[in-house]
Amino acid sequence: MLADVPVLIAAAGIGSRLGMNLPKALVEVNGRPILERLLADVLADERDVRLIVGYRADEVIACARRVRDDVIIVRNPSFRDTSVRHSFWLAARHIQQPSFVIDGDTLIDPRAWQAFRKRAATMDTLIGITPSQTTDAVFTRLSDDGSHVTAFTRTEPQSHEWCGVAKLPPRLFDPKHDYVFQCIDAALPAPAHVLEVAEVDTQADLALAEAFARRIDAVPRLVSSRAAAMALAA
Amino acid sequence: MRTGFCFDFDGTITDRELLPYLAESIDLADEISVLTRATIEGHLDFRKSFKLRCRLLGAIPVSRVNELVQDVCMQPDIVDFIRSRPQDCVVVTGNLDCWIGPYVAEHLGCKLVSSRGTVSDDRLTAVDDVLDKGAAVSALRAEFGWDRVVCVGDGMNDVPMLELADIAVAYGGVHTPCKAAEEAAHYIVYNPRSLCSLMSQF
Repeated sequence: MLADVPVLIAAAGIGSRLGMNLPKALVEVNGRPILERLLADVLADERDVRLIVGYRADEVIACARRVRDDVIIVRNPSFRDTSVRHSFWLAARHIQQPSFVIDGDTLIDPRAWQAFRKRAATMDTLIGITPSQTTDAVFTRLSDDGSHVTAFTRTEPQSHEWCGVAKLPPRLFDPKHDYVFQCIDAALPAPAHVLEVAEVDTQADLALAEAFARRIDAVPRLVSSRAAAMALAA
Repeated sequence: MRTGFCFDFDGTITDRELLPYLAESIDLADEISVLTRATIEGHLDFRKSFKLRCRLLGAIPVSRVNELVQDVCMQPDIVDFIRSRPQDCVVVTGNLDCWIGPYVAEHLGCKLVSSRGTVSDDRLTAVDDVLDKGAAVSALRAEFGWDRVVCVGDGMNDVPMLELADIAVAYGGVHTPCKAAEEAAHYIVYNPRSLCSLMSQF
């Protein structure tokens, strides 16, 4: 059995670029909030899940608790003046081991997550990348064989972008940086893993995410080992 | 780095509030429940409400209270956590030493800081001191030489202790923490296993 690797989900931000007056994790894609999809479908087998909340925290917490009661809530009261980097720092500062980080506005294919966590089992660092698609990407420069991320760039388009998902060593989210990718820079070069995701930073992203969610939802739901165990026990 | 853990007792370690439970034995459960809920949420001053509830519950012999408390369930994960490091854990409760002291000593084996009552002929005759949890945590920090204090609570009277903690945890395993406790907290958890998995990383 794999050890309980903490999973940190950043869901504190206002999502101003999306302009929906709703925390992005609560945006519904094909009828279900992104956060519900993360907690119920993608992370069903993860036992140590930490959700960083700020903007409209009560609603984000309520959404999480409708799915499961074991999520650890991390408060980011200064969400208006801080970035995702600060949220991850708040959640990671009391953790002594490598952790997964996920941007709370990221729609992930549950099967892709299973492959990612399995590959990450023996690694401290694994960077999730996806074919470039968003309008405001953090692009990843890759090694010649495509196996490693060697640098991040916001100005020179590349074949792939960072997808907001990674496994990272502790103590990486140094307050001297503004952005998460700047923090990860210290761990580069690092292995890359392509996984299918959709982010919802803007309205244009949302249309892509809708199509992505319909594709995911058309596949019969994976039965998680936890759900299977509960079914056996019943 | 030496880390100390301070736990609220009623509704944090125990799976129910004790005063309404004690009140069942003298048919005052509803009345005490209303007072307890309003106090946890901060609508009533803890000190006055606690003294009033003690006056009402003082009708029960102290030895009978000790027996009743023996039947209260504690959350097993939290008990295991405390028993694995009793020298670093303290129960910080507004409840009375004469009511829960023997129970805490027997089942948790850690230090207890509580409100204090006078007992005469097996009856509670006075509440001498209602605990200020903020002052208690400051004193404990000095006494134990802790570098860092983790506080876990849910009610209005836990807020001063949560505000002084290095790591403050609002715990909603028994009932939802009061708003002020949530706002004083770095973490909010709703499940005893999650609480212990969080604390074991500190």
